[in-house]
Amino acid sequence: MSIVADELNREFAGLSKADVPAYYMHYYVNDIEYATISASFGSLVHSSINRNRILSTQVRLGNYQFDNTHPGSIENGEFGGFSGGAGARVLPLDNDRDAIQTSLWQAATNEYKLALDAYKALRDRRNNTDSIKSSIPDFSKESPLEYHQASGPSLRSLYRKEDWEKKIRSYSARFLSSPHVVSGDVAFRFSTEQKYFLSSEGARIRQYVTSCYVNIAGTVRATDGDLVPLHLSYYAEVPEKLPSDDKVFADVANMVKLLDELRNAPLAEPYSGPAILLAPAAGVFFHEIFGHRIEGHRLKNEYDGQTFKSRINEPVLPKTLTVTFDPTINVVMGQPVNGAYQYDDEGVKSKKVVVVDKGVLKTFLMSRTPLDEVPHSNGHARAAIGNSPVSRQSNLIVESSKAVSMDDLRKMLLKECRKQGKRYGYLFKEVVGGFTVTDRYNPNAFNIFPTLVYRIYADGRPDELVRGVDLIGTPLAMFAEIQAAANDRDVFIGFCGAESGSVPVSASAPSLFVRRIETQKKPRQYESQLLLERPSTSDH
Amino acid sequence: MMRIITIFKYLTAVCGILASSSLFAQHDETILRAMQDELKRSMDIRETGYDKPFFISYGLTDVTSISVYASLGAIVQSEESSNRGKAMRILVGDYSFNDESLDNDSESEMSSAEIQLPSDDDYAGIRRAYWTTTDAVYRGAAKKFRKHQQTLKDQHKKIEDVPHRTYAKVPVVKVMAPDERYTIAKSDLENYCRQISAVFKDYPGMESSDVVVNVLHGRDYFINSEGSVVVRPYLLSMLQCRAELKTEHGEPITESLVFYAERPSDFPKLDLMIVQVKEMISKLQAVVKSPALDEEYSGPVLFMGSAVASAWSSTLFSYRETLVASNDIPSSTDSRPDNTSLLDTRIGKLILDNSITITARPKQKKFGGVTLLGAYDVDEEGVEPADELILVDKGVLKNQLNDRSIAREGQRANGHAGGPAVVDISSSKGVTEKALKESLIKLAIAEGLSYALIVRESGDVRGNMAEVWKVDLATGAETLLRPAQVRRLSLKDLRKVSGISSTQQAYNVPAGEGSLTSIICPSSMLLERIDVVPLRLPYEEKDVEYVTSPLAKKGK
Repeated sequence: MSIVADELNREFAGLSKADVPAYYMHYYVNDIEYATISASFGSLVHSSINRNRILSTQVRLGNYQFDNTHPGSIENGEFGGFSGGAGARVLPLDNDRDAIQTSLWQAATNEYKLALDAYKALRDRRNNTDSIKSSIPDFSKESPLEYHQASGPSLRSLYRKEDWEKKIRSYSARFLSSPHVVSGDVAFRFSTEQKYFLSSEGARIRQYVTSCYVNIAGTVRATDGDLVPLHLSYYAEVPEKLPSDDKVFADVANMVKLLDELRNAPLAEPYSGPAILLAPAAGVFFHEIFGHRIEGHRLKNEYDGQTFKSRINEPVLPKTLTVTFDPTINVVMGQPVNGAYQYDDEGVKSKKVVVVDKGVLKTFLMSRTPLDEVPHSNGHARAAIGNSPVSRQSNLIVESSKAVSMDDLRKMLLKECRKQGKRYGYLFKEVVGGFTVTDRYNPNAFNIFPTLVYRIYADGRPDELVRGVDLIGTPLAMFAEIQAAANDRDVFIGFCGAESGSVPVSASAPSLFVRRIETQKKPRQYESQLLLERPSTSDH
Repeated sequence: MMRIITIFKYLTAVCGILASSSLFAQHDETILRAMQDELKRSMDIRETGYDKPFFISYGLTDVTSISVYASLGAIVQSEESSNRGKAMRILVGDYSFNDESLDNDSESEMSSAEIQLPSDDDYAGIRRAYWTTTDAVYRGAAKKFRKHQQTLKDQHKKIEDVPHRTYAKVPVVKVMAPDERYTIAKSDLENYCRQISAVFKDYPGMESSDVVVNVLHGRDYFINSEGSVVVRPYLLSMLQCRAELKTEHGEPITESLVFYAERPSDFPKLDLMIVQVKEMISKLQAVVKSPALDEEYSGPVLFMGSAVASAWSSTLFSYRETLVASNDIPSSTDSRPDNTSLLDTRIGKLILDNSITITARPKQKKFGGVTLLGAYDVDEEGVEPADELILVDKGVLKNQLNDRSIAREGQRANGHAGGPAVVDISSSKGVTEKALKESLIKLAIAEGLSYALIVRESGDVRGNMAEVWKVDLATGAETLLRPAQVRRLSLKDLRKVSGISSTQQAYNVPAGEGSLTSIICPSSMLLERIDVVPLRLPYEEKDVEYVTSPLAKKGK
């Protein structure tokens, strides 16, 4: 950190005296060591440990009001604005002052040149046209912070490679119990990371973070050749806090049982009608249809749909619902969540943000890219290593002030089915992810990928497992259809991909009853029945 | 039906301490037993509704890769990983008419249920990995053979009546290389790279510099249903030291030192390497200050050193004029560009200067002090090549390099599925280098030129930049120029060789997909009408130095 601090001071002293002076710069170093293991049907297929030091550099020219990142104008045919940036570069792993300083120097020089080109172009355009007249600053002023977290244990002291290889292999071996399962994969990833953020404003932040994931994926070939996948994932800060072997074995056994059931499950037809989204599915539903529309930086762009831009202090959701993003917590309902951090990727302290209070929109998720409505960051600037940060979601928590029991939620669904003349409603039990479109040049739709879907029949017959369903819709129409929430809660752990790369996020929500959803057929992936039986699992 | 799943053909290398034990023999035994058991089961496939396969081959490459990258005395990246890849070929029909006979599409459909090879010697896991792939490849081959049968039936023709491809019968080979494995001390490689790269700390004006070592070591396994078994080591190392400087106009000029070896222990010793790096830096500093070729040159050029090897390898193995026989057949269903080599129809014809003889010597391991890293005893299809195969005799094309696919009259499987391996180019009219330079000057004067050019290093080794020297026609004095581009040579340029040296040299040159070809060739060669053009490098404004380099305080 001292090498980076010295070079930052030296660089900024020089660049702030250039003909077009820099007014801000930062260095962000992610020193990450990570172990990965993967296994398939009881066989170890990969195991490695690697380490990288990645440097991200930002140099801003002009001033807080107008700088080289100023957003483009549609009038001028500019879509994304100039973000500048020469990208990330690897820093030496050895603490060799000459080598590290030289790399930092080269990064700052390159970044300055790119910023200079962008700044000159924007400045000339501003001087020659009427289009760029925004009064909103390009970069918010925030107090520089100092935080020095002690370095934590090394990756190797928190993880015994041989033990975890054995575990991961044994988890995947459980897929051999079904002759119909065509892929049974388990992947483990554990990382320890030192993060150093230093800015010319005086920020000096050193953080130590760890994360550990186990992802399990099984696929069955249905009787018609359709490949049907299921997924499981576990998250903990360190490997020893992951669920016990017994729990994982039981979960995999249940997954295999469900895969076997899915073999003969009927393919669903497109549908419109009432549905229940169980808690994990409801979390992803909110992440996609709501979360991506309150990420502040996007609301500044003229090409964005800006669904909620002018709706602060207006009702946007049912008044029983409150939506919070809280990166300051590591646990929700006793379950570890992965959207936590102490300082964001612009060196701002993370904050709990109540975005919707009793149905009324209160604010947006903010980075240091301000809006008229929200002039300061609330610690939600995030990026995958090496990317430029933008405002992103963290731990999403949806709460209802008027929760009902699951039985009542089910009764509401059945009543609504009868009212709409539907033979059945849908129960979305598990999802694997989804996506949404927020720009104004494409339909503002979302698509959620359920993996476990049941029909709930109005005539009382048993629920029926179906396959081949994707949940689709448009956000504003969907908000109006949320009728009730249950008194349960579950957490979805995942990664969210957007402009600044893939970042860890969680979504916690109660189960929801929605008056009308729409589904479409899932794209099919076909595989013929194999001509030979799976070879014996024994050595002879 | 060929289907490469994953094949690791990196520029590999191995150094370190030789280790050998019964533990490793156990590796071979388990892997081979799993491959053979699954292959046997697959050959016995019944009641599928398709014809049975008549040929199956399985390949497995087990490689450990080490990659170390250092800059300015510090390690930037250092990684070690093990990977296993499998290759597979399944043929349905018979040797004379099979699923590969009637079109040029050799790819199989991928299986969605692909299972990866285990990274350890897991007998059942290895069988499972071959099982799913075999199923997909076999199914594709069987369907295609059925389609070919129908095509002939529809056309009322026999296979002999149409252009077609056969599969050559070859002797069964059994090669089991001693099961020797290597333990590589990655920390030794790191120290080596660290110390070499630290030399650049004394040169703050460098735009960038780095030292990279890549090492691959492991074993290759090959079996087929005919009974061939080939197990052999996989060893290759590469060291590259690279530096970049800019001219006063901001043009980047790069200089590299590249070494190939089986083992990193065969790289130059540290003190010698440091001397060579300093010489490279001096040369680079001279190059950026040297004059540029200021016009397009067309006239005699004397190729020397690695430039000769590059000239031959790029000419003899280019896309359209390669000595490697084409497997393509005329096909009305193939919409892709014709991949046929122009040489396929020129057997028995003069294609080069009549002093030139080219011989494939795939098993030759050394030439002088150079290890020929392209050499092999058995090719990738388990075929043993002859010690020598004359390809060109006094300028006349006699043979092409071929694998087991026979697409036209006169072709035969000659053990070159692995490529050229080692190629020996010799001349019956060799002279001294002094004589060649005199001839160069005479030719240039006769052409009415004011100077002549010598190319000493090839573009291939140096990115796209050839090392070019300007020769004063009156005094013979040589002046180093900035890098220039030699127009790509073709066989036509080699129909008349104006002079060639009597001494030979050997180089290992990249041959694509990470493999190397070893070229034994004359050390100089004079060609009469060669175009050399100034290299159009990106032009940038002179850098403004806003902040001085941190190394400036200690630089030379």
